[in-house]
Amino acid sequence: MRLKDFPEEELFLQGSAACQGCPGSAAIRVAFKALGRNTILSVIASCTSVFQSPFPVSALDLPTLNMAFATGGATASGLSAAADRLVAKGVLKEKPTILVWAGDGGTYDIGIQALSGAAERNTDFIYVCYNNEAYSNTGTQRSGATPYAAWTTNTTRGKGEWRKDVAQIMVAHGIPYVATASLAYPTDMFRKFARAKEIKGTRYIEIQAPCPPGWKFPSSHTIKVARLAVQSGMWMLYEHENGKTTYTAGTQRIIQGQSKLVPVEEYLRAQGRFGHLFHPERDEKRIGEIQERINHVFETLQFTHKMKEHIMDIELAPPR
Amino acid sequence: MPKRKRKAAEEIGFVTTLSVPSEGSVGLTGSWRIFVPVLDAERCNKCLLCWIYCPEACIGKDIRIDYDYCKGCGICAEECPRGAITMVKEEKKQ
Amino acid sequence: MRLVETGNHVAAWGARLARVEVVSAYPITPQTQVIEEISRFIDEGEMDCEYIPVESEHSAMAAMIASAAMGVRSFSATSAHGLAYMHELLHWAAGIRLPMVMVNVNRALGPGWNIWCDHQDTLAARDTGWIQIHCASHQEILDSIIQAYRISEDPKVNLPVMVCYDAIFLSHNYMQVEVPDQETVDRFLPPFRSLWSLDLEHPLTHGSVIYPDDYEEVRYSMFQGLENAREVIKTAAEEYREKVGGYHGDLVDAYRMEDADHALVAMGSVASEARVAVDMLRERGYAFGLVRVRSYRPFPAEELAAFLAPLRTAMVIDRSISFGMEGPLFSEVKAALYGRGGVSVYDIVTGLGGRDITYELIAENAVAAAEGGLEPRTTWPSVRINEHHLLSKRGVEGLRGKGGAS
Repeated sequence: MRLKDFPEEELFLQGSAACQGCPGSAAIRVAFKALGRNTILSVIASCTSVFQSPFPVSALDLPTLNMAFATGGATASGLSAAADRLVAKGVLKEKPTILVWAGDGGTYDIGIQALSGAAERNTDFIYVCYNNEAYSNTGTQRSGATPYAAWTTNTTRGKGEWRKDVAQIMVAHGIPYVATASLAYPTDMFRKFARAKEIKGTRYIEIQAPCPPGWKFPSSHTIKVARLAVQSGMWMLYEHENGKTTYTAGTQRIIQGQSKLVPVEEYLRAQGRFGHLFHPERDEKRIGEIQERINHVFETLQFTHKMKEHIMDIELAPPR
Repeated sequence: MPKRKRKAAEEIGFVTTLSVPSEGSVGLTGSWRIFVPVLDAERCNKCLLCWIYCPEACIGKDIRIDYDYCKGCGICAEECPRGAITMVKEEKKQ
Repeated sequence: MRLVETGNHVAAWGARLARVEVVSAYPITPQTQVIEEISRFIDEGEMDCEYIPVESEHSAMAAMIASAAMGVRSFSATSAHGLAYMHELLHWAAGIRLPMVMVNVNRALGPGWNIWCDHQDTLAARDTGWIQIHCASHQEILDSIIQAYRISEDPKVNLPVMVCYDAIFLSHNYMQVEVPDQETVDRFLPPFRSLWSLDLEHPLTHGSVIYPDDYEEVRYSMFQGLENAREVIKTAAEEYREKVGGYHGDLVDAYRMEDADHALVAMGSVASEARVAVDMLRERGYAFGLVRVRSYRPFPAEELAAFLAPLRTAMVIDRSISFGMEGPLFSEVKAALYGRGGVSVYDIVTGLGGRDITYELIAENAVAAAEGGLEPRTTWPSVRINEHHLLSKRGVEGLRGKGGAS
């Protein structure tokens, strides 16, 4: 779908409490456009709890249940079961989309149990993790999604551990649909939400959400940083359905050799949270470690891609 | 606030934390702005990237900028592939 | 229909007759039979209901809040550690002002693991904004669950109700109950209603940030809801007696109080034991009666004061302890009597972790209280420290500081 075909209706109303350049509200706009009005929303404790604006008004124009931090998956199970009852009784003509909107703290850390439980029950809902790679709402503390070497207020010299990969954990649950998305690729994101809407069962979409105050870059660079993340291989775009992973948009182009990986240094230099890797002196070791990991992943994917093409050639060759 | 929604709120006759969807839920956020986006309509090819990237839904599909709510983040100017939007220091409001 | 069943199965019948549509629960001893029986009802097509087998009690409560928010009658059941684990969401469930009912089987908290009865779990949930009804018999469990929906869904209340009954004594023992038929219950309990729900026609946002300017009013409204519940509980009990049959008191349940000089105050299944004690004390010439607190929240302060203030003695039986203070029921009974009458109030803490409370023990302490021979503070009449309790007597004390016993 092209941008001009996106619905015009805004279900996130202007004049909210979101920071300038907020990736959360930017992501919500695209998601809501793809899902439409027939959606029940639950917002799990996160920046979105705040930027929807305080009582007695709200920037969210969908029926919304704000819920406690660790409840995302379970809330969806309750909403979905009740919606099934209302459909069975004829109160609702069709089942609304159940959408849970959570941050990386509510997904990677405190909420992973409820999410895993809901996925195992194959609760019929879309779970969105907008991942700003830290507890931004409480002032940027490390989370399970914070990348290696990133500064946060409780990893002042850079996080010592590598982030975990919840999208892959969700793939391992065998749910019908898992996708990752980037703000810089709105048509790719929109298509993934539209695809998710068509499917029944647990669907998981994770959006990388570069946070200007948390990651320390100017508010005008939200999209630029999101794009660099994909171009450098720090964030990968794919969708997983029927046991098969398909890489999409910028990530697909790199794997297929249409574009080259941007050195990760460019991505790191764009953000103050990695500033200590460059000042007062260059931290070759950690920059090298990060680049090496990315290279390893992409070399493998590129090799697999070439092998597949090669195998296809053999299969398609006419019999002699 | 649309009438329909106000009515729904009034029907709830007891106190609980129910909020009504509203534009300007924290007021006219245009007052947050230091730099203001200015569109050069001649250069604009209506690619709609600014429309979809704006985190505050302040640019219409007709590329009209809503200065009441634009927070001045500068994403539209940064992302415009034609350089049709520039950020200029806002005149001090009276 | 007459059944001889466990209290847990009777609770499942309560949910079934209340036409519950969504159940979310996680198994915990001694509550498990409740959810086993409900899933059997569903599997056999006897109950038209969605059952969500959640992965924790925290999630059980989250799912129940969500289904209630969709406008559907919801039920859950838990006990002890489960109730403690969902504590955060007990506050959320009450604050959201939606009707729902949960059963809690009163059980002791670890460590060590103890699946038997006391009231520590329930009383620790006292200040969450839930209504708490404590039952003393199987019939009361059934009747109270049905009444609980009526109370919870009353527009003046809109708060969740916890129906509490004692582990093992009520949860697992078999007793005879009269199960009313569905049409009779339907005449008493109208279809689900709530003051708000997640409505696609009227999208509203529930539970966002609220500033000091507005928060207090929300809490005051909850306080008022619980105050309103006093009348609603009484009406529900009366109407249930008329339309369905069966009465177990309203906020309190009194026994032989008409001409009493002294009273026992108790909660839950121990009231049966206390009745026996009352009869025995009467035979010995002590005019005791019994006031059973049925509704712990809202607390029946006026009712208790009316019964107890004119008396000479009141002895509270507490099945839990507020560490650093005294028996919690004792505190509240005294607070209810503040500035009224000259009644002397005594307290025994006993029956923790399922220890048997005998009518002899009750009677013996009641006599001491009536004769002024009991200390006017919390006493622990059934504590007996044996040699195997003491590290020093077991030869393990010397291991301290050496990395523990290995």
